Amino acid sequence: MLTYLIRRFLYAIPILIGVNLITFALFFIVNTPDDMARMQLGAKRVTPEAIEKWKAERGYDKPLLWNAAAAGTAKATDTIFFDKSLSMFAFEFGRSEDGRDIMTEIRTRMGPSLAIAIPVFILGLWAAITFALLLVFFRGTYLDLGGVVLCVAMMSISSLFYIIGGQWLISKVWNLVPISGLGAGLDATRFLILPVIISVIGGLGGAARWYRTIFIEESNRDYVRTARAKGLSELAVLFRHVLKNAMIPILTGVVVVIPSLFLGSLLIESFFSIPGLGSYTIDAINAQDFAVVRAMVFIGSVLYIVGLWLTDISYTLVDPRIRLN
Amino acid sequence: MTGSAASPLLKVNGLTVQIGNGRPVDQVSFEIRPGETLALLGESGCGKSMTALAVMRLLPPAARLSGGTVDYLSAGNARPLLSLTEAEMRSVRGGGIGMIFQEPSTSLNPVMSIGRQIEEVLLLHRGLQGDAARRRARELLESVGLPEAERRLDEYPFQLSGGMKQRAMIAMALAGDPELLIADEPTTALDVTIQAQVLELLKTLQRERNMGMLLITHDLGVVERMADHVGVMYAGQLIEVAPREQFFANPAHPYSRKLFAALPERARHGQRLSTIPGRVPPLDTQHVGCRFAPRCSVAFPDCSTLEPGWHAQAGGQEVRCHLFDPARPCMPTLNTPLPTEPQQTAPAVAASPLLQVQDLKVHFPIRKGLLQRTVGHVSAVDGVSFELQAGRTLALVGESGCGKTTVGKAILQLIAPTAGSVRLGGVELTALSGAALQPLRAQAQMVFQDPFASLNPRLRIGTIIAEGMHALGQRAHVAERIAELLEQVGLRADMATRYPHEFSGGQRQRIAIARALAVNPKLIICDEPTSALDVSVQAQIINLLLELQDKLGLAYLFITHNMAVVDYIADDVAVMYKGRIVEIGSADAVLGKPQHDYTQSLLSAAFTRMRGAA
Repeated sequence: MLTYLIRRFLYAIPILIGVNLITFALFFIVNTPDDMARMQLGAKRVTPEAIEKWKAERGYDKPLLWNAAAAGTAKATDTIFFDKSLSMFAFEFGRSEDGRDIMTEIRTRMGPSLAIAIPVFILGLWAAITFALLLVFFRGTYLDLGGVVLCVAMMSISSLFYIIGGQWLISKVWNLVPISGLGAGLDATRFLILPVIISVIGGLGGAARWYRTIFIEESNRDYVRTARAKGLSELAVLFRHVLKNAMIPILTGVVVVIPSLFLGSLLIESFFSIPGLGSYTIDAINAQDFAVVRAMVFIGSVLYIVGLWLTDISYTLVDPRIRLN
Repeated sequence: MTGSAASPLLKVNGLTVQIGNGRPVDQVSFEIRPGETLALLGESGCGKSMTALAVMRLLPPAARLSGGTVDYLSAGNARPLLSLTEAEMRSVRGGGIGMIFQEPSTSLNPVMSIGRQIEEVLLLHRGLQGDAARRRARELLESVGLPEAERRLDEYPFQLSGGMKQRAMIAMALAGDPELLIADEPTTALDVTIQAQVLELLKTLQRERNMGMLLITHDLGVVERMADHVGVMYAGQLIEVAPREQFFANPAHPYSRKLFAALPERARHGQRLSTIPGRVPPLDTQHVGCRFAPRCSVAFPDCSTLEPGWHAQAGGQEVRCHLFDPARPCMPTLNTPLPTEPQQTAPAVAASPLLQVQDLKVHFPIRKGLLQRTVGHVSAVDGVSFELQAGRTLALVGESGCGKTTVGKAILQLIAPTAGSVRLGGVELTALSGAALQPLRAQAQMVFQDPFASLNPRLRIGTIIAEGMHALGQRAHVAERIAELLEQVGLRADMATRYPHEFSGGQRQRIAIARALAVNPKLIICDEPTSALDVSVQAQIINLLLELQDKLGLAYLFITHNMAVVDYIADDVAVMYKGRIVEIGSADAVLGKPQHDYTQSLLSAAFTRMRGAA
């Protein structure tokens, strides 16, 4: 099993290098430093001199891959690829347009993002599984039918509706919690309740419907009939037999997103003015701050790869066929 | 029935199950006494399993109980199972009545250890926990003959072989000390020698515990070994009940007789097998008259209008058929011999064999460690040699895992052989590759075991059949050829536009055969072509294969573990064991005077009605 995990870990290395190369191609070859300079400077101020100055200030004036003018190892190291792309492996992302260190910014904004993302993840998973199990327990009844219709309705409604509707009803009309922003320390809880609830509700329909399908598929299997023939109660069958087997496909979809929780939610953070990484990314995209976007794309990819690896680990925990083979 | 003094353990009276308008189980009544086995016999779709599930009240959601009573008489008091509350019923399931199922690999929870699955029953019905439960679980595994019981407790189903899984399943069913065991096709998914062991085990346990048993099977051999009483089911009804000896000596109902006549056996070699035309009526049929009448060869007009009643025969046999009605004066005689068609003699042996296999070896690498280096090889096929003449049938026999399917695939170059030579019509196949192999593919085709899995569900059958022709560049007259092929395998030409799911198992296997024939092969490798089919359908497919062999001069390499089929169909037999052929020769020699120990054990384990044993 250990060799299995090590092998999976080693598979990640070529993928990471590939991600780095693709990001490099996207940000420096498809979209050249000249293009970046033009966008940043705006239509009026674009002159060849201004572009050269902008590039020089940010280190974009170097050759892309090979610096023939430099001496020794600097031929390879004094390039955009080495400075801007390879350095990302060391989590050095340089500075954003407003001159702040991107990594410092990421560190401080991680907290608020996680403060929303972790409760949403746990509560959402719990709510969806509970709701799905309830529907499966009452499968074939009107409760089940009503539940599925509700799920489809919840899936069909745009998440923007939940956000704006929730803010209007709970904060404005009922005045229960602040509409947006974030407080310090324990006070933050007041601000976090609404975005967490809205995120959970927004994701519930799709997830519960999907889990219900998995549970039902699982409960039609032969071993479930065997379990019933043992005389187990329907609840014991559901929890001890069906749930454990159904966790295998569920984990595939769930564990992979755990690391990406760090990145926060683009939509929720913007609407609730939470100073997390989601809103940081949105702001950077709006400001065409390529250094930040590049950093977030790379981090996102790395976290996704970590997520895949965690999925492999979680398989070995729930599925003895993988653990013991 | 017999004059057994013991009072019945289970009394089923008029049990009826409804699905929509159909009645998969219709007015079924029977009794089972302690220590006694009742076998419900019938083909798939006749309602045997549904009857068992109804007794346990474990019917699928679409089905509901619409009539009858089931009384479970335990320690003097009768419990009407159909009117117990769900909680009371749960104490019966797994407690008073244990159940084992057909497919041990899917019927055990894959992510729960064997020990825990048994302990679950012990806690529920015996109140045992912790060490006591574990000790008892180990004793149970020992009592079902599972080696290294202590270690097995912590193992998972995938770590056990099929036979071991079925033993674990039996241990689980016995954990609640049931008085009645319901066994639903307990050995159908197992190899012949394992089948014999599991049946023997069930018999021993039954004797030790004086357990009643409801055995559900489609296999006459299993019935003969196990049953005290036999109930034959057809289209949801019991149509004949009899003590075993009586049933085997003199099956009464035309359907029962047909089941016997459809059995392939050596004595019938050279004749066509008797088949039952048509198929089991669909579930929602509204029956008028006798349900078997449309397929019955001795039916007379009244059969299709009047529902037959029960007629008692000598020796406790009862049959539901007008032919046995004493009030009916003009009774067609039942004892006319079944019509048989003479078979042409096999074509003269050609000078050079069609297929020559020399020292064929297939080794699969075992990969281990971080870098998946090859650390060794499994010899799936280890030096196999044989020859096959045109127009003849060679049966390749052995248990699962002995390498017989791998031989088939290696001949067709679907797996690259590690060593050895395969010559088809004098051309060495192992030396060829890619495009050079293409024209030779037309000469050898394969028919697979599972007709449900081996046809692409999203293609029309015309397309499936035409695919091979297209691959070989035949573009002209494809539609005509498809029509011809479909007629040839006993289907209608207009079926070409349908999808596989619209066909029954037997019809699908016909389609698979048509697909193989499409490119005019000289050799067909049949990999267990009938083992997923019912007996009467199996007879139809075997007849079809023989007919095609006569007409087209095909050679068959017939891969199977079914000794009865081998006995009937094969000219020559090769017995495989652990990747080698241990015995090869004419069918008469190998099956008549087996030399090798393994062949002997294989034959003794198989159903032995063939060589005059009955």
